[in-house]
Amino acid sequence: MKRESRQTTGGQAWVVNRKKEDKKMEPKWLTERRQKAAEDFKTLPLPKTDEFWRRTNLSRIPFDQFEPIQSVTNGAAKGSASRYLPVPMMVSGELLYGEKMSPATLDPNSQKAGVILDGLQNALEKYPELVLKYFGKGFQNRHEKFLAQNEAFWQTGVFCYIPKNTQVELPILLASHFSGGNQSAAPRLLIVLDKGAKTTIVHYASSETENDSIFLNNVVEIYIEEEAHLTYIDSQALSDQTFEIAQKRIELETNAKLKWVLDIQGSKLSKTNIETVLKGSGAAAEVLGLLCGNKKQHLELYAWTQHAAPHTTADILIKGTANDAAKTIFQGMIRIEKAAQGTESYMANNNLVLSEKAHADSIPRLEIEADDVRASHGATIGQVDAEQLFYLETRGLNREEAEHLIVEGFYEDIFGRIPVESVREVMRKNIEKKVGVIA
Amino acid sequence: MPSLLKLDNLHIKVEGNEIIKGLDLEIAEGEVHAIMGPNGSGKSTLAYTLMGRPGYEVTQGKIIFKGEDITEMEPEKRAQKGLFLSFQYPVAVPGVTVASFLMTVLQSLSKTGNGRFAELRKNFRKNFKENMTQLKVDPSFATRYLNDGFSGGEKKRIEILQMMTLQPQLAILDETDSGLDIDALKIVSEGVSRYINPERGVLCITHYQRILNHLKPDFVHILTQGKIIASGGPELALQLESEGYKAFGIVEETRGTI
Repeated sequence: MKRESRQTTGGQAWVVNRKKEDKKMEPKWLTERRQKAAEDFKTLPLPKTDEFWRRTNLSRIPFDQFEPIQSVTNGAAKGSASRYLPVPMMVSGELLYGEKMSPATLDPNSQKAGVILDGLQNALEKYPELVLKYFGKGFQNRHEKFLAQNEAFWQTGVFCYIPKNTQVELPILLASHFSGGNQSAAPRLLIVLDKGAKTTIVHYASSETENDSIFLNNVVEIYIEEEAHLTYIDSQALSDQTFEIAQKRIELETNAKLKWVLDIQGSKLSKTNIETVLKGSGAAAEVLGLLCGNKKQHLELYAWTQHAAPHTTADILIKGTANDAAKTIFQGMIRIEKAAQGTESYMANNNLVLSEKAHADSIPRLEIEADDVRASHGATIGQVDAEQLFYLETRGLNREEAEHLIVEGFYEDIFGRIPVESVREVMRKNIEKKVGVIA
Repeated sequence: MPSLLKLDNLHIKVEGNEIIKGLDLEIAEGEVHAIMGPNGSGKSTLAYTLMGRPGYEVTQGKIIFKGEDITEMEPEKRAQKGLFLSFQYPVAVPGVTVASFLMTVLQSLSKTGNGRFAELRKNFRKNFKENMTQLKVDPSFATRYLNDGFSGGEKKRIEILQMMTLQPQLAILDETDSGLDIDALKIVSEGVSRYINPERGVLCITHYQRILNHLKPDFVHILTQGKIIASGGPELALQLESEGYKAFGIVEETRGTI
């Protein structure tokens, strides 16, 4: 069938669409990079049999049914980002991107300090040198289908820069939103914390669909320079007809610190690959992930952690629940290079399966080249105990409430490590919607 | 006195085996009943069935609670009507603190429109603190995860703390005395005694007589092989204590409680 052969392209419409866009004003280097990546995208096959892709059936994504959106630089009013959060949040700045983009807001102190928060297109015009220094730095020579697709065709995105030794007290909120219409998009996020900078960034991705669907190819790159500290809350509440493929990479230089909270609850199918790269000695990363699947959701998180320098530490805790006929998959890889002596690395993945048709997979791996290393990984897959449910029901909770309480308890050790109360509330609210509400 | 619980020729099957084989029992408001029996006599089966545990099938007879047939009712509905079971083996719920658990339960019960629960919810903090003091439960237990890493005795105290907080009309105590030392038994029994009033009832299921010294039952029943073979006053428990189950023609099984 003709449809079959077209599906393997990953969406030919992107290439056609881009031709119109290329006529727009963009720096020459960018156009060249886009064209080079477009060649990659056209020639590379869908990564079907690759070990890290084979657990997600990409043929479930009807690539050719989507129309890529045009480049987006406006369309939404100031302060629109907060509107998409289920609970209010005090922020020091915010920006909405996606199918519409809002102007950024920033508090006066952050403005004075030189914090940059802007659309990626605008930033390319206003701060070309700064953006060029980092843009795509961590993804060079990768030649991967979806990275190439994003590099070639990204139409919406954000650039956020925290200058040297600048501390932003309240979180900066970045929200992306798409409504249905069988559209597809390749959003791109570039965040840089310069030396000694400290901030919390909350990212909230949402979408709406009814009888239509959306495809998103998200690429995120974050650079944390020496001694800088970032708390990055990455919350995803995409609609149940949204397909998402995401590649997210965070690089940490000497003594940099990262707390990365991944909240993966939405979408019909999500394949998220995260890369935590401890490049400088003394860098420390804490990665907390929550996967919450119901109905027929397929949620896969692949977490790659690379220790490339001595005395680096990583503490990874990923917890997943699967209800109804949902499937959650965690793949983890800790890679400790020869140079990374004195490294500590821990990875734990716990899963709770809430129904007979639901399924959880866990594949943690370690690759250690250095000798002086403390590393461990562990995984569990459990079921909600009939005994536990009965116990809670005898106190007056119905089945849904009892399950919800067990799930909340299951995630409690993650919540306990999230520093922003309103973020915990956002995550709890979204879990409630999926596992049933209490009182 | 109005009837709280009435069991009429109750038969219960678990995994195809008949465990309770025709049991009659009536508990009126204000009464304390004790059911004693050896291991394997069906005591826990009866307790679970009264609470509506899935897989425990009533094949004959009915469970009437306050005049209503609850034989087929969901466990949470029974709790809403005022039934409570203190578990022999309370279950751990990691990540959920004792206080937030009870608050969640009261919030949920309040939604049923029963003003009694709304009132309990309103006064939760005060009552909870008082009950903890009465039961000599360390305040730190309020923020500990429910039954998670608790000793056997601690679990039993928390069961009674839950009972005192939820104030049911009929409390079924399934071997609440096991795992308690003499002091703890006294404290827990005092908690139960304070809970008892002319409108409430207790069904105390036990292997041993010692908790009955504190609870002073109005009626004692001896259960074996799924049937009550003797009923009487407190003297029956004493007779059992001094003469043993053998005096009632019962050979104790070595296997654990069902």
